[in-house]
Amino acid sequence: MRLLEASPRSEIVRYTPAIGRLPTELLQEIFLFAVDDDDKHKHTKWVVSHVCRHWRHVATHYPRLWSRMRFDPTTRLGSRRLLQAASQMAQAVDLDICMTWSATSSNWAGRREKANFIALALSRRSQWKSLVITDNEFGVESNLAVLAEGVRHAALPRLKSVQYHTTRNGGEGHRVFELVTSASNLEVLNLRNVDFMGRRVPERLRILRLDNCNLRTIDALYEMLALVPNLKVLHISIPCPTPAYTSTTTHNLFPCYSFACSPWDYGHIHTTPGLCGSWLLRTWAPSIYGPLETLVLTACPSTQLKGEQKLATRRFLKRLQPGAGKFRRSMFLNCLALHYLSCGLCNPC
Amino acid sequence: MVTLTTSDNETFTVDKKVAEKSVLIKNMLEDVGESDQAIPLPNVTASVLKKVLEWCEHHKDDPAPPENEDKDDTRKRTTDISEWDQKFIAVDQEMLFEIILAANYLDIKALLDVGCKTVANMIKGKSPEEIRKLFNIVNDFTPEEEAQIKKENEWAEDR
Repeated sequence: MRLLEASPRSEIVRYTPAIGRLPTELLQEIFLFAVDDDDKHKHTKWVVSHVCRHWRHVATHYPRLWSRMRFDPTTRLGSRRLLQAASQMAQAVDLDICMTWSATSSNWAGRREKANFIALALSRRSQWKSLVITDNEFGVESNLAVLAEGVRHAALPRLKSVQYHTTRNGGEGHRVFELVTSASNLEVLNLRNVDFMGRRVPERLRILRLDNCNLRTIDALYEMLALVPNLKVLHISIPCPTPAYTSTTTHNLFPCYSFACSPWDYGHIHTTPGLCGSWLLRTWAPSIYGPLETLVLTACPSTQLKGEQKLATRRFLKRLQPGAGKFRRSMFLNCLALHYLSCGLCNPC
Repeated sequence: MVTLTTSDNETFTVDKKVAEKSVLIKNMLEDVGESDQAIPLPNVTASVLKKVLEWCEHHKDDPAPPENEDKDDTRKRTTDISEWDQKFIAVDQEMLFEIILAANYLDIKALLDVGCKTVANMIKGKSPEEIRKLFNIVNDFTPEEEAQIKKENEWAEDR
């Protein structure tokens, strides 16, 4: 503690805490760090606003501190009131929206609170910077449809990142594309268990991650990728998109003759469910690889591979390792990192 | 070598590379050019500058942060602190806040982050009362504000 004032006329001695010497902008920076990993059990932004008048003033007049709007399954009114108060303090700042939809909240009160949150989030849609949805709900209603409807004909100019993960592909996941259609500046798209067939994404996309997404026709993916010239990171973890596909049909689908002539012709592997990676590598045109800086491929468990297929796959994967210069030079001119996640056949990179 | 003079008139002679971890000093050196004159640092005492220079010496070979880092709101904020920095910043509160203020004045972003993260980690997981006790802060809320806070606490607990 530091002596601030000791008046000779009074016995009262006032102290100011050492932290009180920090200017407002530094206190704000500290608060931002403190709320960084807040989860539903912590209310750090509220805690700091309950310490003293100065801290409350600093916290409540700093919109960035309130920029994260998070919905976890709840049936309580208190949660809604906190969110409403927080959204007021967020003012016009960019918002990070995070929602978890769970089967446990599918009772009437849970649905009411979820609907209220969605309505609140939609009322601030022009401020969305990121949207993270974890859909564990097995109910009949489609929250995603409500969200998609809410942004129809609206612009989401600040939305840069969308993540939608669902535990099942109920055929509604594709509605996320209705959402991203409004987000012309979207840069990151991360989907899990979504039907990806025939969907297009904004041109400015830089990072695309697809986990276990349904890619029933490669045409759709190929066309989509051709429309995203800025793509820098592609991470795919999918089951084989077309199990019936064989190398003999390659020329009907893609102008990728250079691949057909490449020394790594593993046509016989293409029908193996576990090798979507090699299949995609071989069938995409070099123009797709051009802007890529990172490519991540994940194979299905190797237990599905046997005999010669397994050996050929092992050879193929070996060539995919970083440092396999010939492969990279010829196809991945800008690819700075190539990751092949462990499939049991090779060491994870 | 660069000579620095503190507010309590102590002088420190340090390697230019170490001194230039401070954007303020770097800019001053660029403006002044080659000179033997000491650079005055009227807002920093000798004990604090000694600590700051210790940090700069240890981190002198660290790569410079990206130019646009400050403007990038999307960067992941984390309160992780390296082991060396944790030991370095394990000082009493008085010194901790002096280091933060000095880092802010000298414009040493990485050191400022270490200080702010340390204070943030001290705050995390504590109740308002525990924070007041930790930093010797007086609860000066008016009855009206107390009532509002009580209401917010009830909302927070009603989950």
